[in-house]
Amino acid sequence: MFFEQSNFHQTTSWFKIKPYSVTGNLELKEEEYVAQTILQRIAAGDKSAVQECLDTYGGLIWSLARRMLPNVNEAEDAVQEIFIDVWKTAERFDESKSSETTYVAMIARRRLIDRLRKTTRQPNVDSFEDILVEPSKNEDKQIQTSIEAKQAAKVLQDLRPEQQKVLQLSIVQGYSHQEISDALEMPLGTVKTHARRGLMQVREILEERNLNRGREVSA
Amino acid sequence: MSENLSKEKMLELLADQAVFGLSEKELQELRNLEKEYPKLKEDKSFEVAAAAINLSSVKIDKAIPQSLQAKILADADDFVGSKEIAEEEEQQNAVSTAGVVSQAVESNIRQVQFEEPKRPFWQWLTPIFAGIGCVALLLNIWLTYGNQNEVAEKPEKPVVEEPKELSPTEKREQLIASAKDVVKTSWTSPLKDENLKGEVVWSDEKQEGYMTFKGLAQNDIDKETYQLWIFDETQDEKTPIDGGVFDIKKNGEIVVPIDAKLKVKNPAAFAVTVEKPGGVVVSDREKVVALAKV
Repeated sequence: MFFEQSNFHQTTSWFKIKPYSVTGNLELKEEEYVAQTILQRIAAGDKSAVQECLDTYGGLIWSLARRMLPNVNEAEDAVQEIFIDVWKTAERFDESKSSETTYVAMIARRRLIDRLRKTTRQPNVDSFEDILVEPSKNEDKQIQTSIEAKQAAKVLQDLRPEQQKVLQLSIVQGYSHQEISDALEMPLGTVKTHARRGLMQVREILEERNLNRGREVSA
Repeated sequence: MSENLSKEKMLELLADQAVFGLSEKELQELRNLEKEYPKLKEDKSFEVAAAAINLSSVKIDKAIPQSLQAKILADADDFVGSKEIAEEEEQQNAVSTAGVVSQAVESNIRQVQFEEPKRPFWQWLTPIFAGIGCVALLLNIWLTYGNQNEVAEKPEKPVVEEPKELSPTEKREQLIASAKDVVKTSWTSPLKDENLKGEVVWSDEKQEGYMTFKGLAQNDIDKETYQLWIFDETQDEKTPIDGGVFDIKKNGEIVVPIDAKLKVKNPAAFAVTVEKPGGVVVSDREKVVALAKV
């Protein structure tokens, strides 16, 4: 299946934080050791986490942008905007709702969908020269994905083929409902229904998982 | 609209937003419904599900270009700088509002205000390189004009070359040499074009492949493009994997990297069609110009 999975990538790291005293005493008090994700560290003002964010998610965001946007320049602009969005919204990241990788992909998708809607979709209009200067592949790089992605893949396998196809073309490749309707010769309403139903099934499973996780934590 | 219907409508809009994005009109409709269901406004579960689906099939095979990395780091610098300033202002406001500013705090704040902001290392790179450049220039002038007799006897300085980006031909050779599972097959012409020669190489393990063509006609890029389709065991025969579009702009042998949009597994055949510029989602296969069966 095209939804085949790779390894789950954990981005939590251990580091030292020094709490700031609000009583006006800038003397740093006791040090605490806490496990924080990259985004939590960015939200806490850790500069090194910004570089780490680029190292960890650069390939992912670039791949998503290149797949969904028509040309290299536009993808580059989008990737810059996405990183700024990720840093700015880092404090909104909630581990109980999603993994960090999924959160980053979610922010990236918002920006890419915005751009797609503003431009006429002409996928893959790389000129021959563009293809030739494509950066080389980093073969050893581990594909970063998330626990949610693994679960989504399982659910997708059980969906009807039309639902799979519509979700693949819309979510993975960024085609509009009209383009999918034209391409698959399927009524517009049916395209939307397939997309909604498929998405809702994935959502239900992920919600269930979050609930179970919540129960485990409270127990 | 009854309560159930409007809630259902809102859920539909949230799903559409996560998958396709919304038009202005739909967005306005969603804003209106959000007033009725403020809890749903905060619901990101549809977007999380869409992101998870996206991640489930993402193929991270494109290293982010170095020039783009540099731009992002510059943005990071601005971001961190502006965040620091905002935090300092916030801290100062908090302290003065409380009215319990101790002398120690004041001196520390002054120190913060007058201290040169710490610059990330990459900001120092420009002045460092500029300095090195100046020194090199002066040295060059001195060697050329100040010391001409000696220069003639000195051996030439070694030239440090940047690592060269491999050409598609070299990358293809590298793939053939390094991948254990390379499949190789030759093109045939369904149009009985005897000039068409070439082959396809593909590795499932590396998810990388190349096409070579000789005799494939140049295309008018304003009117048409070539598009590769990959038939494999993961996809229905009706909807093969999009292998990317390409143009032929010159005669002679050409190597084209394959840009598969989905993970390919055990390919059975490769086909090249002529499509409208930009390519298509599903080909009508009216004009298949090259076919290679594994």
